[in-house]
Amino acid sequence: MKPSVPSVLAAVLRGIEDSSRAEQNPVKLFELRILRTVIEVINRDWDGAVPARIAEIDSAMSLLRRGLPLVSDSLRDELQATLARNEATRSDLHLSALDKTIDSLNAGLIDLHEYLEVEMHCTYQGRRELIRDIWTHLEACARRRAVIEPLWDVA
Amino acid sequence: MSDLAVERVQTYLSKALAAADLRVLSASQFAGGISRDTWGVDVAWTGEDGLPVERGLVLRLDPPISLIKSRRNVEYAMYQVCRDVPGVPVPLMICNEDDPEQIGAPFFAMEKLKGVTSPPAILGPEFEASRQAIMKQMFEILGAIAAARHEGKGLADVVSTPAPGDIWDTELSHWERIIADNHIGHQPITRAAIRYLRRSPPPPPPRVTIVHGDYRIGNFLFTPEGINGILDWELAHLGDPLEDLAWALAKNWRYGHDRSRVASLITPEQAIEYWESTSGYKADRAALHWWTVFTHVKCVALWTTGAHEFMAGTPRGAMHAFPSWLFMNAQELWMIEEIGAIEQ
Repeated sequence: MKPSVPSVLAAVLRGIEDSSRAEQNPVKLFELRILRTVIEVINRDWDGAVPARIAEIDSAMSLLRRGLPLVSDSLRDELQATLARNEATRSDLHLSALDKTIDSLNAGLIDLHEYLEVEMHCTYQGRRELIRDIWTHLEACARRRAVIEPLWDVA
Repeated sequence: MSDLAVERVQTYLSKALAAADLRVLSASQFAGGISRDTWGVDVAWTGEDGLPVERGLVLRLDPPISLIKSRRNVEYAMYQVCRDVPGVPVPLMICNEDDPEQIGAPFFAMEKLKGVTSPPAILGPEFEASRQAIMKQMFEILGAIAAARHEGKGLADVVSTPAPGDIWDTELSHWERIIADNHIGHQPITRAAIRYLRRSPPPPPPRVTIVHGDYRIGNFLFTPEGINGILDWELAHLGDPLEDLAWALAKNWRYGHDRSRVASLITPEQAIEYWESTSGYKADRAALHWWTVFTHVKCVALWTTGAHEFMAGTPRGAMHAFPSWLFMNAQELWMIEEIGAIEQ
């Protein structure tokens, strides 16, 4: 078995660190820092990229399904079409295909979220819970993708 | 432009500075430069008194594509107006050239000032004795910008003057349109934040002021003696001074060991106090909250523009992709936190 991709990327990162220490040109240093960041993110996400996206898709589809009984007929038709279209392509596990599915579901989530906000005066208790759960889903997705440590001190 | 056409620069500057024997001693590109290519150029010539003159200049060149479309004329005008504002240090402007044929790209030139801009530098040993004073000065200068009288200084020729009550909608619509025009995928958090902002607009400011538009650590020069020059005015406009205050306090610039403080050095409340002392305004906290959420939307618009240009094949490559990689989702997390969406 060949060395794992993360182990190779870790070695590449060490090489970049060595190059950075020797580099005096500020432009080149900045470019090395960009390169280091991108490799760090790839390395972090490598192993979990597919399951994380599948979990995100499952969560988004569940939210859209819960929204179906709460929305207008026209929006319901749109959300059902979105669900059906993405259900049909779920066997494709390429990251690009999964990201495309997530983007399509996000379009549906935007419409559902906006509808629920506008209709907040309605008393149906599921609306408020669904809005809260949409936010929880969105927060988890952003947290998974966010590059937070230790890069805040980039000049 | 990855290389500077030094001979053309020499020819141009010799005319602009009326120095026939002007020669370029050295030219080096500055790091960063997401919106423009920035070069430091040292020149020398013989003065009218026959004595040698040496001067450091900074050239800011329009790139073929930028995170924000070139607003060079606005930037140049803002530098010139602020040159006369007490308490606001800016470099002396030398020339502003629209013709791309002169040195290979439209550009302006200004005097080079001493100091560094690097945010981490302020936490280094060289600034141990002065860093708190520099942060205080940062917000006092921002207050002075808010207090500056800009009327009748020619800014109306390059920027529009909004009615106070229209400012929030003008700014929000502007950045919302930029996000839409640079579509890179659906952004449900940012869309929700924009709806949140539209549901609860801020009160109008007491008066329309100069807004730097990107006032933060990293965009001014400082030495152990203090702040030498406020730079990077390419997003400057007339608007609500709280836009700048919220931007300067944004979590993007809270790095180092204490993330409750800007640069680990100054709390938002301290900063607001310094800003109020020189601006003459009271910072309405509800309005400041609105501009803080707006700050995150505006940041997302900037990162989105960069990502879009990268995906469209910008020649500046990773420089445009980098901010979206680094900040996009963190910006979304800060939006959620600021809105209090999860607690609702």
